[in-house]
Amino acid sequence: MFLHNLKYELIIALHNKQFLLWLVLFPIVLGGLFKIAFSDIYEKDVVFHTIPVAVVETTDNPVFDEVMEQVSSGEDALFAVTKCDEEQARTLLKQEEVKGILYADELTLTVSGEGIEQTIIKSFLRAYQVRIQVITDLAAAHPEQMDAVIAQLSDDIQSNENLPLTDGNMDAMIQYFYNLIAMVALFGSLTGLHVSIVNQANLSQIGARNNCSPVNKLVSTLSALCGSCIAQSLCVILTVSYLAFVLKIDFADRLGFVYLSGIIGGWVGVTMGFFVGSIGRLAEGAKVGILMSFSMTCCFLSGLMVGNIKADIAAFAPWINKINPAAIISDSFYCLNVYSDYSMYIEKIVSMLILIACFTIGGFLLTRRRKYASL
Amino acid sequence: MQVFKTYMKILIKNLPGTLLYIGIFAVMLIIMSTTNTSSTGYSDVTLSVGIIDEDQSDASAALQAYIEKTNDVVSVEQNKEWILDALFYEKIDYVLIIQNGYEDKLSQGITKELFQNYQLPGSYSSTLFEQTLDEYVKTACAYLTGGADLNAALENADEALALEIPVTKETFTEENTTNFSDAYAYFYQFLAYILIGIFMNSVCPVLLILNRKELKNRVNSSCISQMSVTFQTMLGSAVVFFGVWILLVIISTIVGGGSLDKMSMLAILNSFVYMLVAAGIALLSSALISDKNIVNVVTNVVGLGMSFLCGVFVPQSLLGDGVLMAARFLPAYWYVRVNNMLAGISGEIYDGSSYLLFLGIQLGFAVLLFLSYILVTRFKYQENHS
Repeated sequence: MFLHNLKYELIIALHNKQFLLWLVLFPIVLGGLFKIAFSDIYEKDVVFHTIPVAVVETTDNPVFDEVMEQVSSGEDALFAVTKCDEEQARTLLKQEEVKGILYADELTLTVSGEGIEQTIIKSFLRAYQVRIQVITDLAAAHPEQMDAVIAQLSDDIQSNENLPLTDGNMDAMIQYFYNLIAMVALFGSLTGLHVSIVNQANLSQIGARNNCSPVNKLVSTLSALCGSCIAQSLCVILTVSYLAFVLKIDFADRLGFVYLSGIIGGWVGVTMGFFVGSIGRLAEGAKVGILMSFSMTCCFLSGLMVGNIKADIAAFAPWINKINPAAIISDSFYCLNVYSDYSMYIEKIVSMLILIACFTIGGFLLTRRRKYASL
Repeated sequence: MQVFKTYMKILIKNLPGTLLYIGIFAVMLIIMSTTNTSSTGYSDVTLSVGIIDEDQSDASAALQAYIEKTNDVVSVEQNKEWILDALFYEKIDYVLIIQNGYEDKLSQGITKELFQNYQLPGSYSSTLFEQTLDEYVKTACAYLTGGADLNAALENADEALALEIPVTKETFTEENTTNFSDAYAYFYQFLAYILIGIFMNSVCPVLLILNRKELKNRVNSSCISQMSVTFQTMLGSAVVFFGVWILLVIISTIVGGGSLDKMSMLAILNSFVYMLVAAGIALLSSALISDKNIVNVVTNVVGLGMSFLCGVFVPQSLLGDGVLMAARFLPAYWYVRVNNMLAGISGEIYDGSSYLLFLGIQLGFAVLLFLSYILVTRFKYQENHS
């Protein structure tokens, strides 16, 4: 009987074409848009690129020219220098062709915006002026040491060693894709809700028919729940495959585990819908509203709209991230990406399994032995 | 006005659900607008730096004091996972470990292996911080070479590096935008997504009921013309659209501190025009959707998709040229550009004629959406009667 019910549950799920279409279309469209919008943000905003600057110089300043030559040559040049008059420099600044105008005579800076590039320019200019001041001070006090001082200031130093943290993808934009999968998983709550609606005689006509049938309620509900989980798993597998193979999202060589956490995440969504659907006698529309509002809030708090909101929440209320289903699902992908061991990932999977168990047991407890005097 | 009355009855019945959505979206809007900030006058970028001091010496304390002057020094937990999370979520830009023996090495003029660090390799923030750190070490060593003792060298270096470079910020703007607070600016930025979310989730369920076959057939068999039905439906929806918009404008005034200057009024006018666009999207979607369960999915595809593509959540200045070119075909792009102009976000400059042009483009989109809605409803009506 279990397999019979499971078969028909799957047929029913596949017949709901419009819902399935949108559930599949949702990650395809949004994932595509995310890919288009975010593909070069990390490269553009985080990774250092040579900063274009304009230099205005009315009198000859060979020392400054030499320093500018040094910092603007080579593959890892700090600046790309355009020497020009003030009018042209202002035009370049207005057209955002340069990030700042360096006035070599007065050692001042004009910028049109503020950001890390402008701060780097300012920091460079200050370092230059400080060096002149140090040399001037020491030339007066210890002229015999001048060669050594100049060498000290000019030589490159190797005082700082970079410690490797991870081999994973540190592009923060990838979390939008994690949250997208989490949202697809939580949309599975609608199929879970359907399970509880069609098993409650006071909420749907199918529920009334199901309750009249001689089938054990535990078996019929469990088979329906399994059917929904299978359908939801297919949606998640399709989503992850699309992201990994079509959009080429970097899941750090652990794709099998990404599928696993996506599928378990989908089950969290289904059982959550089943649990909410089992509470009270609210109409289906109201329960859909509650579920969707809750799912959306979870995804918002997990960073679907504002990327680093989860870190802000972790700072003042970390328990929210520990119980938020969307945060747990997206964190499981994050753990696979950046951590070399699996301990944190296993913690997230266990959290998801606990949520599944709580929602399922809660749902069954709320619907068991329910009698209807009149319908 | 029978259809309008029916609309209102259904709306009132659905009111708890509608209020739930409005409440959630309004809270999301307030959180999003208050967690984003920018500034208008020139100020240096301040990095969030974590320092692990293994040396615990006077010299390392002096270095920490120097770093604190231009950066936010944040406390760090000494475990790799914590640091990794903080770097990934951009809560921290750089973690500096002052190695044991720092003071001894520095006093001898040795600059090798003084520090270790955790960073996003090759990032702007690492470049800036390492530039500052190298300069400090070099300056201190120069004073040491010049004959000063370590304490004097560190003091001199600290003093010398306190030098300020005059920076002029050229805004190229025609009007002053300083009264436009960050919270206010971001409130209107995120409104582009929120309006679509609220409108779709509050109006679509009502319209889906009105579009039910039995109800539709009863209305169609009455003496009311199809045009009148469409008009009354739009009128009923307009009550929601205007009501929600006015509520959000009131909230924005509270979030913005209560002042309403010229720029704020221009932002409100911009949001009014965009409200018409969002209304058109909600009406057209309701005419095309037939399953209430997918309203939320469609809302997210349309709302989130357009928002990410048009620079609502991520500044337009960070989006690629190709993305912005494609976004021009979406109304939210023009709404965001106006808001950027008013608030000075993404380097946009206020210009009166551009403001009117962008508003006109949004109005064009709104007209197109309303016409499409009327055409779709008429087409469906004719399909039912054929």
